Amino acid sequence: MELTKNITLGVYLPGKSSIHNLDPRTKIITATIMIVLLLISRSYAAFALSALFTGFLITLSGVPAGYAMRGLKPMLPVLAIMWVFQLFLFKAPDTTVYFHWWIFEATAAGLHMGNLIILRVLFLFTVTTFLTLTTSVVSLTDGLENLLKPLRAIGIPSQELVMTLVIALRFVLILAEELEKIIKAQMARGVAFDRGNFIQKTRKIFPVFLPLFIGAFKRAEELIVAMDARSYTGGKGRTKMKTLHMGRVDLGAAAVMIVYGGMLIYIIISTEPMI
Amino acid sequence: MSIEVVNLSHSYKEGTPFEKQVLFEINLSIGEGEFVGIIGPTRSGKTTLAQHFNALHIPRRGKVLIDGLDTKDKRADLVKIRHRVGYVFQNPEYQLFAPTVGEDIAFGPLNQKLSREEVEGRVREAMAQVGLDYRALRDRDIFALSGGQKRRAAIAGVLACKPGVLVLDDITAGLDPRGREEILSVIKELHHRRNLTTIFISNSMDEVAAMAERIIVIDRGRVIMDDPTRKVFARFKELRDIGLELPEVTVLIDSLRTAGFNLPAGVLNISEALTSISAALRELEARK
Repeated sequence: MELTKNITLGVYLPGKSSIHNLDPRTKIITATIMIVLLLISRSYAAFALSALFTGFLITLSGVPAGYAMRGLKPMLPVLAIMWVFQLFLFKAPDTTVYFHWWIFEATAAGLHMGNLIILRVLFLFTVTTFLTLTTSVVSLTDGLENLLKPLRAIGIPSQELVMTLVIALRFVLILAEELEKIIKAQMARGVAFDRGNFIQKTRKIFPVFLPLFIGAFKRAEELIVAMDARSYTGGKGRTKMKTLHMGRVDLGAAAVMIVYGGMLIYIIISTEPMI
Repeated sequence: MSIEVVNLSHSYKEGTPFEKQVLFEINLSIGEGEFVGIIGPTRSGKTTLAQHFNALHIPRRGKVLIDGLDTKDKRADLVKIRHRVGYVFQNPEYQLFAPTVGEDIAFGPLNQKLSREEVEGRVREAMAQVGLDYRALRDRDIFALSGGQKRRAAIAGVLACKPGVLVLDDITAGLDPRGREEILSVIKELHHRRNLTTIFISNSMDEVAAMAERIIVIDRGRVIMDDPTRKVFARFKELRDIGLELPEVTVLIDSLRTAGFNLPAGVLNISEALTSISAALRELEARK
């Protein structure tokens, strides 16, 4: 019984690669650009290029590719359901119909729509996971804070927002650990989580979430007290022990991004969209 | 019920860059009706080992046999094994999940698909065994209990499954002295009256010395001692080397001995200390 094994989102894998050494701001901006580009990509060729590029980044970082993709494993059933829904329920005017039964229609348009959504989710997940795998929480916070600083001028408490975001990210793993404890305690008293049909399995989930939520609130309260005890007052007037510096690596990254972005935009414009 | 562990190794996060081996080639066997203490520094692998006893961890390398049943066997009924080997977790009050005491204790028997009357009988019996008043506390909100009462409710929840083996994972941690005392006497009584095989994991040497007949010492995932209690605590130098202490009474009697009092070596608990000290005092009186 080990739940945390498959959780990679929010986990930092220390390393010394040039990706690890990039300024967090560079990484955040790069990741954002990649995500935007993926959201406007609509052709298989565009996704192929993105796959190549992501593969290149993962190789460069030294993060084992299997581990970077591991977090997807628990999501696979959900993705499969999404794909099936798209395939049978997506309606388009003139398209090839493969199969027809009652209100269900498997169409070419549905197939491509399903593929498009799956590809997007896969890439979104991989890019964000890759960002947290190669960036420590501290530098992620620093980078985001720095980037969102201008928002303070229009009254948005950017520092607090970032803090909230980072805490949420940390809690992914903490809650998974808590969940594992609760599941173990219930297994020890005879709940067979791996037995029964889908509905029976789903019903067993409910008694797990009650103690999980109680635990989460308790944790949050402890965190508040701990922050108070360290006189946390929010962003105003805080100084940094480590200041951020952009260096030659970041310049290189910018150059690589311009080449990749240019190629991708060219492909997006010039190729036939899948749907 | 007996437990047999053969060449057991275990790693956490296997197949990830964070992989860490925590158990190395463990071999041991625990017989029917034994009271075994497991001690070792923090993070030595005590809990991981114990969670193999009720099939919460299934071995990848080596095997664990519960009454001859291999937990790795695909046909083994793990739910049945978990009912036969009761496990009380560290800080068990965090794992109480029903709104009232009675409902929480009934959770295990309900999973055994017993009838309503049988479940109620089990709850009544389990509460009596741990010294909780059935009438007064059955419908009490679980969060309204004191720390010691919560522990006892958690133990009752496990006892209600009628286990043949009881694994207790540091159940006195964080309790006040009276709470400790109460829990320990409940455990002792259960062991004696029902001949329950008991595995007692603890960080308190005093408790282990007072409770266990045999002690298994684990350090960095390996069994380094597995002997009767007295023999283990006689090797105090080695225990100190891995960061463990002797029971406080043992230390006290030892320093009295070096101060010149006629006391035996290797005293393990308060009652032994009491008899030997009063014997020594009587001897002194007689000499006067």
